[in-house]
Amino acid sequence: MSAPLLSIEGLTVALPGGGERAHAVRDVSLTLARGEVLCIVGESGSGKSITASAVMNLLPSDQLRITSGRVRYEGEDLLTLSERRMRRLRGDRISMIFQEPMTSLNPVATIGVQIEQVLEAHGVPARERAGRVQELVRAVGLPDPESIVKRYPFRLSGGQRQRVMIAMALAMEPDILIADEPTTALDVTTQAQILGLIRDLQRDRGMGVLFITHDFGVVADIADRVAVMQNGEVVETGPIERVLGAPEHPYTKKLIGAVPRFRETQADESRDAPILSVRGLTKIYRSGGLVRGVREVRAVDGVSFDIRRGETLGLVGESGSGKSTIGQCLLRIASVDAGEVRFDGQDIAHATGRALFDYRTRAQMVFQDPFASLNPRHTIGRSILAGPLAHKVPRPEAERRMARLLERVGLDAGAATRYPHEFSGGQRQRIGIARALAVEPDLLVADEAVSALDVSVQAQVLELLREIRDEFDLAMLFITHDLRVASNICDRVVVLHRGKIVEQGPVTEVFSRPAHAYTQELLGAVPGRSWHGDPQQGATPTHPIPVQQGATT
Amino acid sequence: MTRLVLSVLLRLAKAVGVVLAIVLLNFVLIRLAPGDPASVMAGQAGAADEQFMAQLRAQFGLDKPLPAQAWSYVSGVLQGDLGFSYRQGMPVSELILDRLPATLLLTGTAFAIALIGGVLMGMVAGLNAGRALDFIVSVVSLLFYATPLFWVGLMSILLFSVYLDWLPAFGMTQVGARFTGWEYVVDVARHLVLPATTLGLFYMAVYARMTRASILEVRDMDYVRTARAMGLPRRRMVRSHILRNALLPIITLAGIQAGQLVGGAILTETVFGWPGIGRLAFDALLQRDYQVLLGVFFVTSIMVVVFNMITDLLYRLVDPRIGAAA
Repeated sequence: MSAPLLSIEGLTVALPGGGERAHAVRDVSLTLARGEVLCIVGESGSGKSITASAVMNLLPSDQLRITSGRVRYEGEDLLTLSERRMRRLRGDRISMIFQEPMTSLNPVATIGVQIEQVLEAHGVPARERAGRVQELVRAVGLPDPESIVKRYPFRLSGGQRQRVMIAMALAMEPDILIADEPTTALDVTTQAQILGLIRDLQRDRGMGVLFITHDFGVVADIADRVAVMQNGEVVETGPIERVLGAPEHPYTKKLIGAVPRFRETQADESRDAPILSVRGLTKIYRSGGLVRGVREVRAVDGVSFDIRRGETLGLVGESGSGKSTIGQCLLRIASVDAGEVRFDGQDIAHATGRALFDYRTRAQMVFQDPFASLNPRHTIGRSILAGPLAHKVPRPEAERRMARLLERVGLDAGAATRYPHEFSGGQRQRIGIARALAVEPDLLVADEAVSALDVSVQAQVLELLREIRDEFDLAMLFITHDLRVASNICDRVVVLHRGKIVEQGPVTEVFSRPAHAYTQELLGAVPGRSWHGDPQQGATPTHPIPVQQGATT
Repeated sequence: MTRLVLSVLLRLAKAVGVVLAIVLLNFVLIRLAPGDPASVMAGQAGAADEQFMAQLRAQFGLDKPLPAQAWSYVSGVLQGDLGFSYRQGMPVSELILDRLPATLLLTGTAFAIALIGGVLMGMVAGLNAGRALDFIVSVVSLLFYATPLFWVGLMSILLFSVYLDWLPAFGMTQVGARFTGWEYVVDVARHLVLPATTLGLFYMAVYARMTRASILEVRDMDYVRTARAMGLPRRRMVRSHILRNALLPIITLAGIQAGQLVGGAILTETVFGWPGIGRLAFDALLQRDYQVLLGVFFVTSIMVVVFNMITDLLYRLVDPRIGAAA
């Protein structure tokens, strides 16, 4: 093998004192060859992003200090370069793109200006810049290049903004592109497009790409080689076929085992009468006013479905499909504009007063963000007891219930006297589940309840939800953008697109024989499909990897 | 553009409503105070028999029911008539117009000193956060922030006028001197230095602290990180990414301060004997010259409303997201 393009040797980054561990990154050594995509994969806190930022010398030096190691590029150690020389390399020879497309562009400068600034910073003469900006905008596939350069970032979608950032990163035709979770915040179809774009540009230009991700599906789609990081250390590296197909390190095995995959066998179908019947549910958002006229958005448009006891119905779709709005309408957090929501025979779509109050004990929600959905100044106990006490459950009974539930979700009874910040994301999600169950509901709505969690924790919480549904004979509405998760936990699934149902049915049937073009598009865009064995096309993986069975959680 | 014009018109219509409501509210509030103008006048004339009082009341329409009085006042204001000051023997609008330029000069200068000085101080502190320069600026601005205005005024008179004898301490022009042309300008400017600086110090500190905080916040934004990762030179990054965004919230604050240009100088005008609206209001209050007081209220409320509108419009110009969204 020829000399690597970039080599990280024994990189160690210290964390400020008093933390859980002394080092954010410890003794990390990696190499990147020309024309290669190296994926660094790991869970949150594994040090993968810090490693990437260290290469660019972009770490906040007051908090994270590089204590030892070298980053070699063209015979020089980047870590010892002056800020002046490093500045010239950044964006020119080594470029970086980031996760948050919504916030990564300056809101008050036009797209064209921001791309042009990169050219200007690296000495491209003024007369050539406008033409180069046009070329770049075309190369990353942005629509209407002539006029889009005059637009401000807020006019663009997340995927388009990510394309702008890629255009900026590639403006000087760098040797190395560092991509830090560039598709994590995007919808699955957009993600597939951006991954394809990065792959194409990388091949055309022979760049080396250092790609940071938490998602093994993405790894399977884009990587040539993989490095797995855990607690700041690289535990395993190797070619993709080897690492995904025959992982050696126990942590890698555990991670791969926890990746949700498409289910092949259909669960028994519940024969009960539906506990919740939704007919023609419609929710309209209005905006504007006197000056520019009222604008209407039909967030949910004539949606109908049923849920039975002991059944999990999945609501899947991309952002803006209306799936979360439906959840909010069912719980009456949002008002219903038209249609019927029959719960146990009673229409609660427009219930008020006592009827609505009583309904609140029968339908509960588990929210997406385990950090924001618990009041930081209330103890866990207070948060869990609030529901039952409001509904006149005697305190001793409510406390008995709480103790039982905390134990059931895998937390000790002492948790009740502690505050949310003392718990991890996964534990908080368990608390959220306990809180929802405290009023003994019949319907549980889980809105992206596992989306913010690391993959291994995600698998555990999914398992908990499944057990609880069976134990309490709950009807569950599971809202998610992740088709793999949906396939994993749902019995039936509803596919939403722009507020309308495009398809519904048993999950294995919908996902193995999608009838609607949009469902097919969604399924096709799921990262790493070939790797998991594609139920639609049979087993024709691009990388010949045996599918690993049995979750190790 | 037509959309912009339309929304400006809509704002104007709302503003007129707000101003009318304020006029009415002021009128009612002032009448809630005990003692009507007639009794004040009679008391000062030294003759307070019932017949004289009734005659006065009839003369000024004070014998009519309150709603009728309110109506006649509001309709007068609508026609540009702010009433007549019995004490000064002049129409209120003339009194106010006479004093307005002095106040605008003083508060306008103070505003400019505060805004320019404060933002510069904040920039120095924010861009050098954690270093000695930041510390010095922060201490100085805290001092300005915490010291009462009248005390700063008195002490600066003591220092610069009494001990050093550099600057005049009182009034707007030198008593007895009849300067013209350039000499007049210099004379007024010399008189302006102390009161304008005194008045501006507090807001200067507020601007400095806010600019510093805003820069620190923007400095850590994702788009600044993007700019760094793309290798932009520091000066470019500071100018077009950090400052451009960090100064947006300053506009809000500047709008609030500008709205108080007329009403906020009472204390300073009193300490420095500045012949402005503030002192007019202060004297009117002591003498229960209600018509004048109402007139001052009216002018100050118009200033607040107008500057709020200007602030909103300015935001539309400097921040592309506002007014275009939704």
